[in-house]
Amino acid sequence: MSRLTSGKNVLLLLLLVMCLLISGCGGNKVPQEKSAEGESPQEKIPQELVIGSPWTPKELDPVSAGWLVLRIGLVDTLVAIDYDINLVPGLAKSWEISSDELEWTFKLEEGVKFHDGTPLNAEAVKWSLERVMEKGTLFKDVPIKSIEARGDYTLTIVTEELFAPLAAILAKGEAAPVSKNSLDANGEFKEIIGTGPFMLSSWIPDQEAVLVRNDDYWGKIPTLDKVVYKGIPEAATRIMMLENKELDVAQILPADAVEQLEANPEIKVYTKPILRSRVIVLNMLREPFNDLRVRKAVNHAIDRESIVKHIMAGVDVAASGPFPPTTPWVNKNLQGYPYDLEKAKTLLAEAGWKDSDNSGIIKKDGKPFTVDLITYSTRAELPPMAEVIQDQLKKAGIQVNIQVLETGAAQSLREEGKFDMYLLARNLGFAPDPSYYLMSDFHSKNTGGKGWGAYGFNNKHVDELIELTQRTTNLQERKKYFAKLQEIIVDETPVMFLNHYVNVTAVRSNVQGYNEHPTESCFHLENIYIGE
Amino acid sequence: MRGVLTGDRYVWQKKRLNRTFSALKENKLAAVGLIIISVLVLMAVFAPLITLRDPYEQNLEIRLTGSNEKYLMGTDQFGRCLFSRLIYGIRISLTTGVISAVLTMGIGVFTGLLAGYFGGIMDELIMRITDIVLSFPSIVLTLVIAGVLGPDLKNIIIALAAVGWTKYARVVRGSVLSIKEQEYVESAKALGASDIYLLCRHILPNCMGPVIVIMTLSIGGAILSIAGLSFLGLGAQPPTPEWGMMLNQGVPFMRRAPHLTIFPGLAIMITVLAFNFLGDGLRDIMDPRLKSKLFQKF
Repeated sequence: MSRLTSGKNVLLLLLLVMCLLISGCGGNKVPQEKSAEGESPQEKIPQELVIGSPWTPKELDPVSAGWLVLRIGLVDTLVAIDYDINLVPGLAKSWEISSDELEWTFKLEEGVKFHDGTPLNAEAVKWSLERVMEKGTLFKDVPIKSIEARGDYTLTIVTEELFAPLAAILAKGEAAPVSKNSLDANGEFKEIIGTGPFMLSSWIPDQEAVLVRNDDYWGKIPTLDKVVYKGIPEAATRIMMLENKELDVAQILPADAVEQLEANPEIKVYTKPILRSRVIVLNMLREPFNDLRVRKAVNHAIDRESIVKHIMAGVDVAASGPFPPTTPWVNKNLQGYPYDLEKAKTLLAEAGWKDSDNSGIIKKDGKPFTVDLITYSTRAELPPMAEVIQDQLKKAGIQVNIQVLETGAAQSLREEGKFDMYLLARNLGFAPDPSYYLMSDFHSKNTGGKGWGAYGFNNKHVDELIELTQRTTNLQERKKYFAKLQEIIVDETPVMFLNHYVNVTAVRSNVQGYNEHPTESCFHLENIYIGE
Repeated sequence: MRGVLTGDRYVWQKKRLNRTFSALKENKLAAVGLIIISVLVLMAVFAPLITLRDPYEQNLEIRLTGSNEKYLMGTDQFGRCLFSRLIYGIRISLTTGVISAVLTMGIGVFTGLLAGYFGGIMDELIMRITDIVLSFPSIVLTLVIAGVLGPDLKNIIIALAAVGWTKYARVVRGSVLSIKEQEYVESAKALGASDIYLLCRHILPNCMGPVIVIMTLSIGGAILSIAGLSFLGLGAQPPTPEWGMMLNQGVPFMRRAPHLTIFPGLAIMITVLAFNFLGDGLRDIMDPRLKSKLFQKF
C-alpha cells in the first residue's frame, strides 16, 4: 500500500516537473520577443494587439482557409476590395480583358517578395492559382482554360467563354498566392508563406495564431509589432476578456450587448452593416417544404420586425430579399413576406395542413407538422432567434424542434439532408460580385449537398439567368438580371431571408484605426495602432 | 437473528424499515431533505395550479423584466414567466434525475449480481469492464457518449447510466460474495431452490441497503450532471424549461438581468442539497458501525 502511494507521488512529481518544463519553455520565448520589440525605437507604447474571434484558426492553407489568412493579413490577393465594395488593385496593379473577352491580363506589382524572400512573379502566381484549381473549390464554376505567364510580371488567364466575375473571384482569400516553399517535398501544405503585411510567428491549431510585422511589406508597413488572433467561440467570454483587458478587439458580438459595452468608457463599439444575412435554408427535397405554399406560409408566419427589435436590439435590418438595401445591386421593389398569420394559416390549409383535432398542431393525412430546425451557437444571436421563430411558428400550428449544434455538426447534417430548416448567417460578398454568391447558393448544380445556400432547389430559369450574369459585362444588363433573380428567388423562397447583418465589434479605447470591412474579407491590421 | 423462513424475514424487514423511519426522524438533516423533496414533488405534480402562466408563452415586449406583482421572479429573455419555468423545471429535473439514478442502479445491480453470484469468467469479464470504465475520468466519458449520441435529455440519461453503473456493480458484487456463503442461502440451496429464486428472494434483498444509500446520494449527483450537461448544450433543447439550460441562456444577461441565473442556480442547489441530506442521513442510519450507536437510543 505504501509502495503504491509512493508510486503515485513519483507520478505527481513527474507531472509537476513536466508542467514546469512546459511553462519554462513558454517563458523562454517571451524575453526574445521583447528584445525584438526593443529594436523599434520610435514606439513607446507596446504595439501589440490581441483579437478575439468566434472562429478558431483550424487550418492556415489558403486553399481551404483563405478567408482567415486574408483577414489577418498573412496573404494578399491579386485584386483587393475597398471599403465601398469596389474592386481595386492588389498584387495586380492593373488588369484588362481582351477584345474577344476571353483573356484576362493582370500586370503584377513589381518587387513584391514572399515572406521567405522569394520574388512574387507571374510564374509564382500561376503556380499558386493552378494549385487552387487542383485542390480547391474556388474555380469549380469558373471556365478557366489556361493560366499563362506572359512575361515576368504579366499573368494571363484564358477562359473558355466570357466570365465576367473573374476579377471578383480572385479577390477571395483562396486565390491568394503563396510561395512554393509553403509545401513540403511531397507537395503537402506545411506552412503559410504569403506576401501579406504580417508573417506567421507561431500557431496553435484551433486556438491562436501569432503574427509579427512584415518589415519588407510592399504596401503600407504596419505599425503593430505583433498580433495574436484567438478563437473564442463563446461571445460572453469574449466580452468578459475584453473588459478584463485580455483582448484588445472582441469581434462578432450579440447586438444585445451593445448597451452594456457602450456604458464602459474604456471600450469603443463599432456597429457596421456588412454583406451578410441571417437566413433559414429550407429542405426542398422532402415534406413539408417541397410545397411552395408551405414555404410561403412559413415566411408569412415569421415576424421579422419583432426579431430585429427584440433579439437584435434594433441594430439589424429586417430583410425582404437576399441583399441589404445599401448594396448597389439590390432589387428595391421586393416586398418580401410581411408578417401575416392569417395568410399563413390560409396557405397551409390550401396545402392540406389543418388542425383537424384541435391539438394546436396542424396535420395532413394524420401526420403532424413537426420540423427540425438546426442552428449553431458560435453566432450568439442564432439560438435565441431560433427560439423566437419556434414560438412564432407554433402560432401557425407548426411544431419546431430546435437543435443547437457545433458549427461543423450542423453543417454535416445539412450536407446529409437531415434537416428541415437550417438557420445560419450567410456571407454574400467574399467575392464582391453577386454572380458568385448566386451561383454557389442557387444554381441547381450547387444545391444538392455541400454549401450554405438553397437545398434541393432546381429552377431552370434561375440557372439560365445566373449563367447570363456570368457572360455579361454590361453593368446595366447585369443589374436587370440580378433584379429578376432576386424576384424569382424570393418568390420561390428556397431560402428565407430574415435580416441583414450589422456587425458588432468592440475594441479597447486605445485601439486606433479599426474599421470593419463590409465584406469581412480583411481586418486591414496594417491600419491599426495602439494609441494613448 | 435472521430467519430462514420467508415469513420471518418479512417481519424482520418490516421492523427494520420501521426502525429506519424512526431513525430518519431523529436525523434532523435527513428529515429536512425528505421534507424539501416532498415539497418539490408536490410542486411538480401541482405545477399547473401553482403557476398562473404558460411556461412556454413568449412576450418579447416585456423581456428581461425584474420581479414584479405580475411576474414573481420576473421574465426571461423571451418575456416568459421565470417562476412558471422554474416550477415546471422541477418535473424535468426530478424525473430525469430519478430515472437516470434508477437506470444506473438497475444496470449496476444486475451486473453486480451476475458477477458475484456466478463468479468465474462472468465475474472476471464484468469486473474488468468495470475497471476499464472506472479508469476514465467519468465526466470526460459522459461528455463523449453524450456528444456522440447527440444533444437530447434521453441521451444524457443513457450516457450517465453507461458511466455510473460501475459503482453499484462493485458494491453489489462484494455483498453477494459474502451473502452467498451465508447458512440460510446454503440451506435454501440444499432444499433445491433455483438460482433465480435465491437471487431474488435471499441475495438481492440483503444487498439493497447500501444500494439504496448510493442511489439516494446519486440522484442529487444525476440532477447536477444533467443540469451541467444541459448547460453545455448537450442535454435539453429549447424551449424545455430545464434548469441547466436556463442557467446557460441567462449567462449573456448576467449584468442586466441577474435573476435569470440566480433563480435556476438556487433551484439546482436546493434540490441537490435535499437529496444529499437525505442520502447522508440514510447512510448514517444504515451504516452498521454507526447503527449500534444510533439504536442505543431505542
